[in-house]
Amino acid sequence: MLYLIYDTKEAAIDRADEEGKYIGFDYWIEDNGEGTRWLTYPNETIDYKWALDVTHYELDSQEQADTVPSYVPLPEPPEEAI
Amino acid sequence: MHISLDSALGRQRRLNSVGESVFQIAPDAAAGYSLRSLTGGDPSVVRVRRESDNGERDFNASGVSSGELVNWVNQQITPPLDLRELTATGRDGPIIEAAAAYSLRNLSDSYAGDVVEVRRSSDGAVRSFTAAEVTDGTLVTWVNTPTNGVFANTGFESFSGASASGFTASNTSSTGFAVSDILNGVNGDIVKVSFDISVNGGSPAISLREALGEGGSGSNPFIITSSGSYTVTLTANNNYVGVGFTEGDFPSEFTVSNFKVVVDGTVSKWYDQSTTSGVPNANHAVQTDAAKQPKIVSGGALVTGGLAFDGVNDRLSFASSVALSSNDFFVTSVLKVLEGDGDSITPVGNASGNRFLISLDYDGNSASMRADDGSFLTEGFSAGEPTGNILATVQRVSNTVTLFHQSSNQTTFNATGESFTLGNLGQIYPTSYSKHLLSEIIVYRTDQSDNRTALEANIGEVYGIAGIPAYDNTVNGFVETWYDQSGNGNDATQLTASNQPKIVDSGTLVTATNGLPAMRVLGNTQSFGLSQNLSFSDFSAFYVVKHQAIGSSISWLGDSGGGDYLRYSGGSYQIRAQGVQTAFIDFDTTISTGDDYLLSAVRGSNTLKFFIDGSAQANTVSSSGTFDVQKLFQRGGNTTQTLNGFAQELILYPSDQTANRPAIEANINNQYDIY
Repeated sequence: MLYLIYDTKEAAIDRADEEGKYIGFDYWIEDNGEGTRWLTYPNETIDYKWALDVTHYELDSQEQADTVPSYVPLPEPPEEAI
Repeated sequence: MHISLDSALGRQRRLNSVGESVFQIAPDAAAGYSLRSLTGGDPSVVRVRRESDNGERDFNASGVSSGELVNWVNQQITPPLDLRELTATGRDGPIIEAAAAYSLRNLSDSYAGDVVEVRRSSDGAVRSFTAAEVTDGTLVTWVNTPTNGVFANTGFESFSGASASGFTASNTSSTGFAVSDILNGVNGDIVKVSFDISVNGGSPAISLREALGEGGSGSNPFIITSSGSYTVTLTANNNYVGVGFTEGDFPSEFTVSNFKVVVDGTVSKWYDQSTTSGVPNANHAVQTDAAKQPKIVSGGALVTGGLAFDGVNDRLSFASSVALSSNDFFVTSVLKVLEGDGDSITPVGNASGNRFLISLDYDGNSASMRADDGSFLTEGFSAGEPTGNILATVQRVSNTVTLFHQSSNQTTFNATGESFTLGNLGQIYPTSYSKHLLSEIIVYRTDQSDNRTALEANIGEVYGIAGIPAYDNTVNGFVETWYDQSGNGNDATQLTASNQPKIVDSGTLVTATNGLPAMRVLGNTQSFGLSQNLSFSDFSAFYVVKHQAIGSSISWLGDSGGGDYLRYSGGSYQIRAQGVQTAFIDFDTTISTGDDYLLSAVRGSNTLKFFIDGSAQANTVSSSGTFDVQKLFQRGGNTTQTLNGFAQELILYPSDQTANRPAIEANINNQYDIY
């Protein structure tokens, strides 16, 4: 897997939007705000950044250089004791 | 024979034994999701994305069960001129190049050129159009432009309601003229008009006019003595600038409405879309004589079903004849019988002499070919004359020519020693023409027997020709929206492709153990979200589910932040509402993998009860506080306590449905045969 790490969720979604448009998902081509929008959606990392799975994205050379093979997700909150 | 609606829709047992749907048994649900109808009607149930081109489409319950959904997902979307050669690793070889290719659609996704050149009858103007302009109305609008002017009065004593489409006029003595400005024309031109007329007196006459006022006539008059709808052809015997009515006899009173100049559009050039090594072959099919051009717009409306060859003298000639010689070839075409046609259909002939590739004689039950040396090849042919589009393919491999009709092998010809040449569309020989509609014809000078089904599958799907086998039944389909059938609009959506559950797996509809349609949910982040939060005090939930794996906990319902949830494990369940979490409550029985289950949860009077396959679990739990739901199969962003299994139905009520629970569960079990 390949990931790009973004400082903000908004920046990660912007990149996901760009890929969704490139692929031609229904959300973008029908211009009605309905249908599939993204190929992947960012997940929060342990250091409060945002990891976007770009394994199947069309990446430019800079993005290819910036990819990382893994990330540590933000841990789930512990289960409450009853 | 009695055929029930249910059987007609496939396996759609929407009703219980007394004929009630779920929502007839218990209306006022907050949301209801299923792959069957919960309403008794045939509502949209899912929006599906197919993996081949990421196209999306809504399907109703009958479309899921009838195979319509699967067929759509498996459609062969690659257009003919983009098809690649088969290799050991799939269709990733070189592009298969045609020798000539004509259609009103783009036969390649990369083709952006014009598909047809059209002449309009009103003024003889010519313009080329792209495939998009053919379908979006641009072509028809251009053919119908310019329109005639508003009728103007000269001499009628009473004249009212004037517009371009009509007027009311009356006279008791003098001559009157009501004239509409049209494109100027000359002696010999033909103008066709249509109109409705109500005659209350006189015998009005219509003719072409030399002037927009009182001038002389430009054609012989057509005299009208009774009310009705008329289409009149006026042949100019002089120069003209307008078309107009006079009163005829006195007294005269008449009203004209729905007047329009009837315009035809004919094809002067059908563009060749084929290429050789990427260079256009440009072997366009042309006809410079307007009287011999097939129609594409008739009476102002686009001809449905392709170019209309009249069987009298219409033909298009290839700029250069296509010599098939005695080599292998493959010619596929989409045709349609014109109303009243009892003759054979011969879509493509030679440019000279009585030679043609194939003639389909539906009345005579024979198919024939005529080779370059004049030899007739005739074989029996008993396909029956279709009323819709015909997919006719002629394929030569070595000395055998095979006719495929609607993709079915109809007959073979022994073509040993014979050669063939193509030169005309619509003409059989110098004095014989074929009456038919032609939407598409593609010519290969190579053996395409390995690619026939792929080519025909795309053509069959584009033209809606029933019975053409799908080529590639290996496509995946995913659920983007699981529609709420309650009428509340609480649709469950998943906007991220990688998180969408699968409903068609490698070309096959996903089913649960009961054999009925299901969604395969892989866990992790696969889930659905609701556009709004559903806040429940009392509530009832019903869920048809099969588990592929059962971990420590499986989320059934959750809010967007993970604060509220209803979850279960193989042996217990738990609810958390507004931060108050119950302990895990033990089931009487164990939920295992591989079996279909109907899970029910009912909270009323601050007590939550759980049911498995209609059986009340002994242990209940006290639960109060608003329970928020905005996610299905997931709680918040948790990715480990999600459903890994198959979902078929999920219904939520904002109320205690204890009284209706047995009937609801009986309906569900009647559908899914769970227990």
